[in-house]
Amino acid sequence: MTPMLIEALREPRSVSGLPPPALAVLVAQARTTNLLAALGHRLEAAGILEGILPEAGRHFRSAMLAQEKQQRDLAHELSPLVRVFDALGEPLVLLKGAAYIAAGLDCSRGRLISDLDLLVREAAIDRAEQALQSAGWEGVKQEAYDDRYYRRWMHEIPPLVHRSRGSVLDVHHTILPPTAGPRVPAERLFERLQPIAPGIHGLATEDMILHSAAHLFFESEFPHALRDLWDQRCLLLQFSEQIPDFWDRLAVRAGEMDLETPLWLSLRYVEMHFAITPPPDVLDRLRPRASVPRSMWWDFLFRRIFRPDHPSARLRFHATAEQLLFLRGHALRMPPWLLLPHLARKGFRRLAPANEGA
Amino acid sequence: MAHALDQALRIGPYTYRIRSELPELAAPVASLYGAFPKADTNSYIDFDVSLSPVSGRPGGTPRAIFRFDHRDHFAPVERRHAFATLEWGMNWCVSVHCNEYLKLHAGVVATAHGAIVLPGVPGAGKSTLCALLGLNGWRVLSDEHALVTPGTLDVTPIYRPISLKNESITLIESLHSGATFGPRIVDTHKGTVSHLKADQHPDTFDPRPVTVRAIVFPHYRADAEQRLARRSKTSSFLTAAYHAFNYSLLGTGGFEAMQTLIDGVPCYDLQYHDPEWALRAFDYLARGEGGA
Amino acid sequence: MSDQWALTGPESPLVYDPGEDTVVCYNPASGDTYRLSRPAAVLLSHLSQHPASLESLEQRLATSAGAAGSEGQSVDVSGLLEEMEALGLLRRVR
Repeated sequence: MTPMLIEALREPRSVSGLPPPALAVLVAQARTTNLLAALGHRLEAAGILEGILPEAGRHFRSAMLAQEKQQRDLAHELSPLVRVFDALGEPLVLLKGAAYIAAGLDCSRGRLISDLDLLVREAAIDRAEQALQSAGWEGVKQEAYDDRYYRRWMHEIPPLVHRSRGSVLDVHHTILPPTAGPRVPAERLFERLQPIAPGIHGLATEDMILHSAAHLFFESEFPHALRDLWDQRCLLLQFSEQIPDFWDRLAVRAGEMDLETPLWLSLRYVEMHFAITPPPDVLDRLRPRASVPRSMWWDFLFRRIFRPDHPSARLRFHATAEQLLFLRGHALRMPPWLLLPHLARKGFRRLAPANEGA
Repeated sequence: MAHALDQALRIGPYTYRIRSELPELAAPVASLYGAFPKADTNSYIDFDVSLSPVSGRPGGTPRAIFRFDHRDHFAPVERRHAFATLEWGMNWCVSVHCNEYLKLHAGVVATAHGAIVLPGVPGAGKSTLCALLGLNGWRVLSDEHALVTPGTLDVTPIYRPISLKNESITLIESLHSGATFGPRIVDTHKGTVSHLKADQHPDTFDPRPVTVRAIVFPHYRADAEQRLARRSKTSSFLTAAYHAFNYSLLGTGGFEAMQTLIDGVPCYDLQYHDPEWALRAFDYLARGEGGA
Repeated sequence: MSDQWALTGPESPLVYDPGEDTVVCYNPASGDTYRLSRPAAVLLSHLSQHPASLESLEQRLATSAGAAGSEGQSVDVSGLLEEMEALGLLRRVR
């Protein structure tokens, strides 16, 4: 059975007839996946929110207010960044959630962000790090091992935290770790940047979608998987309506960026969950030459991951799928001989005393 | 595992489902929450919470974890702190959600003349005052959250047992030997904690909002002169905003709601150490002699 | 010509004036809330209408000071403006 949340996102009218206990479960599913505010906006746009049971309506509106606060904070965070990058002579490039919000895309309605991700040319990354440090963003203290790990094997420098505001910046120089399978030519991302707000750039439309798909299928952030799939759905829907030859351009760009497989997976699961159907020939062009058992294996994993982690929605082997995908995410991001020591260290640190305060 | 505890209770404007496999929670919940209205099976559950044992090292300290929506949000605690953690977690549910109200970190008490809001830093004595007043005929609306509807002077009751700490427990016990307390929980991050049943007022579970009549900032000072004095509105605004849970989250709406509240009622500083004296000061305020 | 002063953001700050010697001010641009002295509030309310120079603000304050019942103490307008600039309420424009 399709979880109520996915049903509600796809068809807001499905919410109207729900009895109070089921509405409460819907709210819990949405809260668990960080989609409560987004679903609130979807219901509002469909004219459903107004007439919903007040006990449920107040939770949607509360989450929408909290998300508005985050949008205001983001705007406040961006103005000093605009000045830093202006002085640096480099474009300020936002990625993912922050870019969607700054550009005011449809998927930004109710979109919560957990990090502020920037893309900087690899050649400029040291200067950018210095300029950000002078403007108050400091490297988080961490073990030398982690620092080396980030710089050498990831596509980013260790996170920077603002001294007084506590905001966190993730500065990347490409959109996938250099060790991941696809070889994304980062310099080509910079050729097609687009202005999305005064002093702020985003990736080109197609690159934005490809990045979101690559992130979804290559990085191990599964608590956000359904939220990321919803981003994909909204991006695909908005741009396929606005841009002529959109699907074609997207497929061509996926080839140039070596990201055909994540795009194919994304289109497959967006269609499965949200009934957005790309032209069949586009799907055929992207389809990896994987054997049928391999795509059945993917389905086994991803169909679990795209369900809210709530007893009302979980399938059997949810935890197993999560663990397998966690390992797969790590395996894709680094060579096997690095994977073992890294996971071992993570494991050891988890055994160290956690904070005890309640 | 079977649940030793599984109840759906109406707590102020919200419904909590409270579950636990820990048998030691059944007695305090029965004694402190026995009078709460139960929700029927067709109710909307706002907060689905539980306290469950977690397995640790063999021979290690037994631990328990608070869950909301069936998910971990915090590290496990020592099992002997389970009841305090449940109480704390239930407060947390309101503190981080529920932006339909301007939420002040404050005690709220009432008489037939209306409600008095007591915002305060921990240690200012708001819970002690709520307990004293509750045991002396006042209605306790909350010892933690003042839920103010923006644009009004309405505060919505959300009564729960009052959380008392350290010397406050001994003080209340010495004044009211018959008072009902939950278990005494020692060595928490706040010291010793115990929860007082303070639902004696017949209207305790009436969910309707009450009009705020005054705001009183309590200051417990053992060695200072006791006084009740008018406080400037500007500084009342800033202190109440500073101690609010969601003033800044609400942005312009928070400013406007706070302005309506502060502008609509007189504000006072209450410096006290003698409970009898403090009660007389509140009776004076309740009679409306403070003037609006 | 001296600097002109203007509000930082497009939205005017909100002010709660309970008629005491200070007012509460909310700055929508930053989300911060401040306590301002009465002369600062007068300057802010004037600048909410349009940008102004130091001289015209000094003049403005002198005329309103009598109405506000201040005891004719001279106010360091340029110091006040700089403080409000540091709070992110005001900016200089040419």
